[in-house]
Amino acid sequence: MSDPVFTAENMTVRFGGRPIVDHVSFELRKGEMVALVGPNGAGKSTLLRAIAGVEASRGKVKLGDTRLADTPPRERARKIAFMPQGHVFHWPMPAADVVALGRLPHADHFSQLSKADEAAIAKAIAITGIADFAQRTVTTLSGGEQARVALARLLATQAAIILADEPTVSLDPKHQLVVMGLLRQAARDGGAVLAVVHDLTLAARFCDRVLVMDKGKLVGDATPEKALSPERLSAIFGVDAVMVDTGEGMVPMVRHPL
Amino acid sequence: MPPMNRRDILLCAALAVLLAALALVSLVTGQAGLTPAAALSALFDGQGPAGIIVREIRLPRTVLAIGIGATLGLSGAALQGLLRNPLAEPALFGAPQAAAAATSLVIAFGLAPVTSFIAPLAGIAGALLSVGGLILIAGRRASLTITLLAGLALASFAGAMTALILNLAPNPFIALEVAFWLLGSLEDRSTDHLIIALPFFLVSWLMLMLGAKAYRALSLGEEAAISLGVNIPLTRLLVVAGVAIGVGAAVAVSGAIGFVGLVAPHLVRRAVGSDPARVLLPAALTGAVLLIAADIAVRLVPAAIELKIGVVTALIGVPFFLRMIFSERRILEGSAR
Repeated sequence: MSDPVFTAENMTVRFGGRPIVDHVSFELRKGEMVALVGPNGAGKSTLLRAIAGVEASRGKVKLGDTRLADTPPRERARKIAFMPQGHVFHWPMPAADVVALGRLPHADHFSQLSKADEAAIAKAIAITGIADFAQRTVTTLSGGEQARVALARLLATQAAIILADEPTVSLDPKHQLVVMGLLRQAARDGGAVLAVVHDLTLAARFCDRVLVMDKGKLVGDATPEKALSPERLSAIFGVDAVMVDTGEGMVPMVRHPL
Repeated sequence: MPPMNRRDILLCAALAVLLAALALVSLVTGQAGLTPAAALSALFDGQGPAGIIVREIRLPRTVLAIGIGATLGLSGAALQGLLRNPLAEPALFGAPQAAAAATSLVIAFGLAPVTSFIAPLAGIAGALLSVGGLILIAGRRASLTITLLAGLALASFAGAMTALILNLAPNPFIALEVAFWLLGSLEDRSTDHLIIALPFFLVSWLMLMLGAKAYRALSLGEEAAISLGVNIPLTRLLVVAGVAIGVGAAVAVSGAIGFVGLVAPHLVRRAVGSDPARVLLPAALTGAVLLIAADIAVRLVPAAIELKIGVVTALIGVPFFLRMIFSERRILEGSAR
């Protein structure tokens, strides 16, 4: 196995003294797609935000060989790309300009886009399939189209670590598959993807590994079959689930509350 | 400086030419009855009474109009970029009102002569309190409703403070003079005014322009901007201080001139689009064009008493503001979430 690109040992985030992320330890490796699941309020979003540098964290948190806290913000931004929950576009800008924002950590203060920037933007637009509406105003696009623009912005950074907070929320079934597929492709292309996913079926279908959080603690770190077994799901979410064979492998399906 | 495409550069060049033309018109406009040719030759040779009129009265007035207009246009564009909403403008946040209150205090109580550096420093302190207070109250989410309500409260409080100062002014003549000055005017401004204001304008422009990349990243929201490496507290500080320094100094020399910061970026967006970084420079140029045009207009309107430019910008700006609220209602309702 390759060396981990990200290592957290006892990573802790506190709000007003209360631990929201409580001594969490895990690793992310190149090429893997990891789902982060857990009940609402488990601390999943906070963990992602802390990795992205939005929240301060404590513990031994390393980006490659350097401590995350010692990494300058711009260098961190080049290595870790983060897509927050919900796709916010405050100004009616062309979609292509939004994608170009992913290159901000690479540009210096005065420069125009470099050749490498242009190439990364073009590639992100191509793989997310948004070329047809890249010149349209992002705020006029449909939810599915906006999700792909946001994803293109995320991928344009070409970061080693890709964080996505509920990337499939409010998307139709097809777009959920498209987005998860693109994230997995980004992992296969050499990234390490960590995504908060509420749809356990999607998590099992697309992810190599599942991290389970509950009340701020990491309570599971295993393959989807083990982490999302009916016993685990009933213990953590309080739901009655069965494993269903889709032909592409076993996925959990929630039947009803216990 | 943000990356600009060819269209942006052309627009800026066109605005600069228009500004230069208006500056010439401003130099040859006035009550002295000089012909344009005489005014222009007086500008260059500086001989006789015509030289004094053009060089010491009209030139400072013209340069001040450009400096103040550019400062107001840029302040509006930067505040809008920081707060991600097109209705942000120094006057809606009480910045000029607070600067006016602080400067009134200095003038009405004779604490310092109007042309000393104390006046702009007082103006800056006032504006700093109001813009800083507003950004603190608006907080991380910077919702439109909270921002506008807090701005209204701060502007009203600053207005009350000004009224209190006029009320308690030791000398009724000075109180009247302050009341007129508050209306906003560039009449009879001298090179001294220019010298005390210009350094502050330059510092303000630099600070507001430095945030260009950050405003652009903020269009994805604060969390995404931080993850892209943007230093939000520093950006906020630059905008608050930049707006306060620019608007405070502008108010100290010209009184309260509002709504240029709202109108200029809005006009520019139609040409360059909504990218908050690309709006900055054209908004500054447009602000300068608007203010110098307004200042020429107040000199051309035949009236026994010269119209105050602050009155004119408010009379045009407020209906414009209402129209903007009306036409962008859908977007505004969306961004108020």
